[in-house]
Amino acid sequence: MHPNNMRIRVAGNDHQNALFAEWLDNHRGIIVKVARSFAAGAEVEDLAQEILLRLWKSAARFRGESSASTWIYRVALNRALTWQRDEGAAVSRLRPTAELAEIATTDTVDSALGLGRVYEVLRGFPEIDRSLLLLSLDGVSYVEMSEITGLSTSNVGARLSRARARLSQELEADHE
Amino acid sequence: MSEQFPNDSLRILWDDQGKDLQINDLKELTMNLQEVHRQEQRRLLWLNVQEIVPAIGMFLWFSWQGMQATTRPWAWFAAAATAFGVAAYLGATSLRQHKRELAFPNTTRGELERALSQMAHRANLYRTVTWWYLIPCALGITFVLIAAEVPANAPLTLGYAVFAIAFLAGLYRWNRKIGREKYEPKVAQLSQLISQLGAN
Repeated sequence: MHPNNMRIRVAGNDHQNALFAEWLDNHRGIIVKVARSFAAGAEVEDLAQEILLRLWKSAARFRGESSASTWIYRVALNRALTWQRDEGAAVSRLRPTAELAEIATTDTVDSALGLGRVYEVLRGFPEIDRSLLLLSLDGVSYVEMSEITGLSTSNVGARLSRARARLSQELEADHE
Repeated sequence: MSEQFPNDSLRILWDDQGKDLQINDLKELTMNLQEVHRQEQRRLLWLNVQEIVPAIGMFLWFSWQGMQATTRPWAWFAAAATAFGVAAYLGATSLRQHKRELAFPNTTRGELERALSQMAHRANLYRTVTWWYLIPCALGITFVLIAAEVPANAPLTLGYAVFAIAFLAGLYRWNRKIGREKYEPKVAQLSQLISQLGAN
C-alpha cells in the first residue's frame, strides 16, 4: 500500500476514504484513460477531477457485487459521457483540486511515441463505440462490458468488431 | 488484446498510464473532495427548493394577512391558495421525478436515461412555466389587488396591471431562455447518446 494511504483518517467515512485510496493505488490508470479518451488538452485534468469526485462518492455505495475495475470503469465512463466542456470552468472555480492531483498530457509525454495519436483516433469515434474500444483495449470481457454499458453481449460483440477494425486500420495507416 | 496496437511498445505505454496521474497529497485531496461534495449537495438542494420556498413564504404571508383582514379576507385566502398550488405542484413533480430517477439501473444506459429524465423534467418545467407559475402568479396578484381594495382606484389599478403584465412577460422570457439554452441542448445531447446505444 502507498504510504499516503496510511494517513487517510479524515472526518467522514473512513471505509469510503480507504477504499478510494485503494482504488487510486491499483486502478488510477482507468481514470487517466477515460479522461484522455473524452477530453483533450487542459480539459483532461478537469474531467479527471470530475471522475475523482464521482469515484470518491461512489465508494460509499460499493458493495463488491462487481470487480473494482468494472465499478470504476462504470463510474468513470458514466461521468465522461455526460460531462460537458463548459462544466470544466465551473468545477475549477469550485476547488483547487488541480494542485492535489495532476495528470500529464499525452502531448508532452509521449505524442512522439504514438499514445497521443491513439487517443486522437479514439476521440474520433462516437462516444459509445469509444467506450467499448477503451474497455476492449484494457482487456475487459464482453460480459463485463455488457454489465458496464447495459448493452447485450451480442450487441457489444457486433459493435466492437466493426470499431476494432476501424481502429486497427487507422493506427496501422499511421505506421505505414 | 495486443493485436489492436500496431506494436508492443505502444501496448506497454498504454498499460502504464497510471503513473501519469500524480496524487500529490491524498489526505488533502480526499478532504477537498468531501468539501466539493458538500458544496454540490447545497447547490442541488437550492436548485430543488428555489421555487418552492418563495411559494411557501407567500402562502404563509397571504394566509396571515387573511386572518388579520377585516374586509375581504377571502381574497387573501384565495391568493394564499394560488401560492400553495404552485408549491404543491412543484413538490409533487419533484418527488415523482426523484422516484423515477431511482428506478434506473446503474449502467451506462441507465445513467444516460436517468440524466435524460432529469434534464427533460427541468426543460419541461421551464417550457410549461406559464401554466404552473405565471397564471397562478397573475391570479395571486389579482386577488391581492382585490384584497387591498385597489380596484376602486382606476388609474392605480391600470398601473399595477401594466406592471404585473410586464413583470410576468419578463419572467416568461427569462424562463424560456434558461430552458432553451441550458436544458434543451442537454436533452438533445443525451438523446443522441442513447440513440447510439440503439435497441438492445
